[in-house]
Amino acid sequence: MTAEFPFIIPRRLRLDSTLLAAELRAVREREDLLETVVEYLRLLLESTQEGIVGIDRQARCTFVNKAAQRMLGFTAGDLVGRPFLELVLLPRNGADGDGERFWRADGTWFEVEYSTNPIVVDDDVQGAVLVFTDAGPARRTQRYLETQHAVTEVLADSATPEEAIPRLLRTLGETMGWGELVAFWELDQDGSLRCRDQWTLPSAEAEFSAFSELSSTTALRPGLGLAGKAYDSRKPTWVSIEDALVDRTRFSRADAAAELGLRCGVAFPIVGGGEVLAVVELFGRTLTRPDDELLKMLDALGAPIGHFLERKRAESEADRLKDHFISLVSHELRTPLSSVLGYLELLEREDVGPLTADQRRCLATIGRNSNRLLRLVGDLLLVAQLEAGTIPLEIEPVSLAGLGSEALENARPGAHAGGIDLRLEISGEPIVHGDRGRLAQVLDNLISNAVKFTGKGGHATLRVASRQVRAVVEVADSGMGIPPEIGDELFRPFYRTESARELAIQGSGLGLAISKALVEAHGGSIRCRSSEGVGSTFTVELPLAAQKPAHVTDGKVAARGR
Amino acid sequence: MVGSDNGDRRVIVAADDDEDILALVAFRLQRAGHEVHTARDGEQALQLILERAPDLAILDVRMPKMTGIDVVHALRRKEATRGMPVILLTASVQEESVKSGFDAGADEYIKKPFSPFDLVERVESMLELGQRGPALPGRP
Repeated sequence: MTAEFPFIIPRRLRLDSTLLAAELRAVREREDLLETVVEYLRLLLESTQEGIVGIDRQARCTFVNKAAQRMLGFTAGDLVGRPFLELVLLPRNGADGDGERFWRADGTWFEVEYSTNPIVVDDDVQGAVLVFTDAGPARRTQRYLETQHAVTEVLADSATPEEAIPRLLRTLGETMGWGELVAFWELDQDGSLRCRDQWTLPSAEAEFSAFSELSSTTALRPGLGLAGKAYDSRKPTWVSIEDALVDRTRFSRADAAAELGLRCGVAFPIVGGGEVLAVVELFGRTLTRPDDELLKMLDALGAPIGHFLERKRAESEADRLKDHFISLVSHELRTPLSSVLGYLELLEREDVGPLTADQRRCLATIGRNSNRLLRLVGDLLLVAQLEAGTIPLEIEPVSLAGLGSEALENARPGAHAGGIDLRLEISGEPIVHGDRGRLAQVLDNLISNAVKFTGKGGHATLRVASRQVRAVVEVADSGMGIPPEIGDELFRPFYRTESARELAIQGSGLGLAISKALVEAHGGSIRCRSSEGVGSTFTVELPLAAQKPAHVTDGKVAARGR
Repeated sequence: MVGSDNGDRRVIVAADDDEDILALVAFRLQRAGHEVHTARDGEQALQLILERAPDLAILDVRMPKMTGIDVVHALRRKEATRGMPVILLTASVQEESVKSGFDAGADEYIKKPFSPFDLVERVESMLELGQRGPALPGRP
């Protein structure tokens, strides 16, 4: 460039040697300056992180800076004089050219953002300068954040691991933008890792089927293979398929992976409760090696997934124990009680010989307490069943007025003994859809509480009414009342008020908890208003049946209770 | 064995793995004049039923070797015992077992604890129903 620098010696200076010498010096100085400027510009082009490429009118490369060479994997010698756009924009490996990616010399690609500026000299376009950056890292960071967010969402609205795992694999594959195949490995009983679930794009399922099949029939000992190494090291691990083709101990499925054009596999452990619960593998075609950010993100993803799996495992163990408890209480406690009550009846009915009055009194006490125990067992069971959500309701139209007067009649002997006046107020004829036996249990509970907690000479009133779309049942007493600070604690299983304990009023603290759960199972609500020393009112609201049926049938219960 | 009040002596097989309940059932039925054969597990119950061809069987649901429900299944598959009245006894409150008991073809389901007198009444009413016609008493 410097050799062609054009200059003209002014004519008037030609014969003046002193001036000529001075002029020559000035010219040399200008030449030096120009060289400095050119060098400066070159440094500028080379030091920027953006790729800069000059092309001529035929789109041939005239200049390529270092950053561009590094990003593209081509040397200046590969590019200068050759059609640049054809080399980097045209798709390879059957992929679509979308103008959003540049292909590298090695056949991989990166997402690109670029701009072009024409070089115009005297209104004539001489070529263009193309400036580009690798948009991948920024977009990847964005996608990794999206992936973390999506995984958190999947975990939040999955009830079981069986539901969560397929969704997790799909989320990882779809959101991360890398990973055409995602696999989930778990330790089986003989201590080998086995592939439990896999995901690929539905359109790629046929293509990947052989590899998927191979994965699902492979058993990996911890420490071996890609998943095994991630399991053992408790850290994200990766393998280059190209390297694995040379050394198959790194990855035994390398040949099958290479055949599909997969270039890299990454595995990360799922850690929960201090142990590795599973390993997730991802395979893709575009990366040759994962960036640090990807590995960091996968490392961070292992914890919430592991926490979820661990929590669900504990929950299912708790459910199993609860089921076991229900079955144990149901069978092991009721069976001996059956014998006690059955033989008691033989004695009381003098089936095995006549009784004296004293014997009869003793037997009555045994009977009363056995029945109390049986009721307690029944209540405990009901609480466990309600908590486990396994209580079946036999739904039929139920007249609350009928149910209410039955409940009141049942309570009458006890109320009479305690000197308590029982009243019934019915307005309208509210019908609800519900389990007759269970609703009766709620009313029995509330009325017997009212009787228990009301002193001699007091009264308890049962009111049944319809209010718009709801049936309302109120049980009001003139009893000792409940301190306001207790609030909803009252409905907690085993809760007993201080006064109930002090006055040794019989009860397990389960009645209100059961009533609340039963009412809620019917789509209703229960609440308590109380004033100490004045009395309490419990209000149950239930949705009314849409229409009053022509006749309300009594449900016939197949099994007989006690 | 004590003679029946009404002279209507029937043969009944009762099976329960709980010795005391089994004795209670057998005692009350014998008191009512019936001939009772007892078994302590499902296999024994099935064998006894096939040998004795009783008029009725009372089976606990939860028994070793074969459950009461398994025994009902086996009885309903055999021509000779297809129509035999069967009462299942259960201490479970889980409705699932009630449903599978009826699905298997049990005619009655009685929850423990039960009154031994009520049980005998139920047995006798079922046997009378059984005499009236070929149709089995429908389940409620």
